[in-house]
Amino acid sequence: MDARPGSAAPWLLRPFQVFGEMVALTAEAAGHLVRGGVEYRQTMEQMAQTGFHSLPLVVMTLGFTGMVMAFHGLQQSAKLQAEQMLGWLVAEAFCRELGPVLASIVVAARVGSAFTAELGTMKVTEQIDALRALATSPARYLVVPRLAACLVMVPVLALAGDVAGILGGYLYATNSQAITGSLYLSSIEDNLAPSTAIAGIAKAIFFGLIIAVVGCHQGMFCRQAAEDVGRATTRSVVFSIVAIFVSDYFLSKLLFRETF
Amino acid sequence: MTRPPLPDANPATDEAGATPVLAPEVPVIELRNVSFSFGGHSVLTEVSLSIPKGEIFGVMGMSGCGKSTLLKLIMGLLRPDDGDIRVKGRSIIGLHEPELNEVRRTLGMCFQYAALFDSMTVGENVAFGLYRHTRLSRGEVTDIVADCLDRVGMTGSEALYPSELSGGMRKRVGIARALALQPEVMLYDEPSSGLDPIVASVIDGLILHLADDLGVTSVVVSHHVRNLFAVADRVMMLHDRRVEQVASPEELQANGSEVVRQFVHGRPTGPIIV
Repeated sequence: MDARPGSAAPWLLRPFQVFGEMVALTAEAAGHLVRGGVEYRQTMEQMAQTGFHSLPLVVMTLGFTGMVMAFHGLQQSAKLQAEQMLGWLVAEAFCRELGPVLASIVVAARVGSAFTAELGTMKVTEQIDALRALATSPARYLVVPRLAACLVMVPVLALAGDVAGILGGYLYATNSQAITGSLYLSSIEDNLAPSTAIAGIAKAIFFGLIIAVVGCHQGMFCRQAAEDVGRATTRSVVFSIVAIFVSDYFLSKLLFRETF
Repeated sequence: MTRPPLPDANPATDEAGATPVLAPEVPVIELRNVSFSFGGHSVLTEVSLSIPKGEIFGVMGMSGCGKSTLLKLIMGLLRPDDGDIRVKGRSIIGLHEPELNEVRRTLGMCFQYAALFDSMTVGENVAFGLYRHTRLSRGEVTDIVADCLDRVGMTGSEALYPSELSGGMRKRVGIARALALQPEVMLYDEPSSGLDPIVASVIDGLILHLADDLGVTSVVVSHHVRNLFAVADRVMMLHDRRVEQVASPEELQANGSEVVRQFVHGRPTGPIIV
């Protein structure tokens, strides 16, 4: 892609230009991905960065959120004498929403920002031009590994987040002695449909796409000035999180429409 | 250090001295009325030039006059608004990325700040293109890397990272990286900038050595007149987005336009308004 410096559209048209650039970047990366143009070493490195190194943060964040969910859930369900449904309440909330959304936000903040900073620095120091001068597609060498890593690892992290949240709720529920551990788990087993967890994973795949594309786009298309790398990194996190929340609404309507 | 002009290296210019007449043989690099702008600002207007095989062609001009842009246009990193760019007779305008990559493999570029991949060692930087574009064994690549580093006086530096190198060493590694794929044309963007005079002379010597030993056609962009005149067969002066004059260093010094003379002598007053 010809990321021409200073070719910004008027501010009113700028969102359309950015969207167009992101679509073109995604299409180019997807083309390489489909044709098998995957850099395995880079992809494994990015998977480790995105998945393995984000895992402790995701587990801790969602584990504590699970405890908070159980704390509030227990108080409210007690009013309805439905404490025995606590496990299901926590599991349903995590598999539908909290797991995919919170895990994606953690990845957007931790990894999406790193994508932008790395690629932005490479842009500023002409390393991206150097790649092209060495007859190497930056989309293939830089974007595809990050895209593949996010598409694979964000759903894995969401699943890990689901488990961490449910276990957090379990720990709170059993420690509070409001319900037994077996009751907590059996309510999940009896009520949680596997399709709910699968739909949550599908959302996480889309969120992974958003994180990778926004993170890479903001880095590759930032202006060639060091200060713009910082701004682009902030924009990357903000855009990703907003896009995750907005798309979450539409994806939820699409994937869970049978409920209401 | 000054190199005698190549045969046919000084094509005539028109009466205004602005538009060079194309060399009779198929030039390795040719620009025809190339114009380029970004952000609504015109950078280059109707630039034409023709570089025959084996020539060292210099480009000089004020900072921001479009010298580096010219190299990026030749490399296909930027697309011109208008005009045609030909590499070995083949137009690169409208080529898709895979076709453009074929052309780029015949060109080598040494960037102003070397643009080494900072997450890789010197050896990995030089080997980068070899691993991607050839089927050479690891041993063969290692030998070529050692040879390229030897050529630029960086023997044994394979394990170092770019952050451990000085500016001059980085530039030399950048040249070694470009050389590894045996390019027919080398593009040098400000090879002397930011270097002390001795290291700058070493880089100049390297450019001459590569042109003489390997027959590499070279385009050297610089605003350091002394260094440029020491290596170039012909020099083009860019001014006010256009080609001001193209001639050998000797001709420019003897019969340069007012703009050229002001630039060459570094006079603060004259037609170039700072």
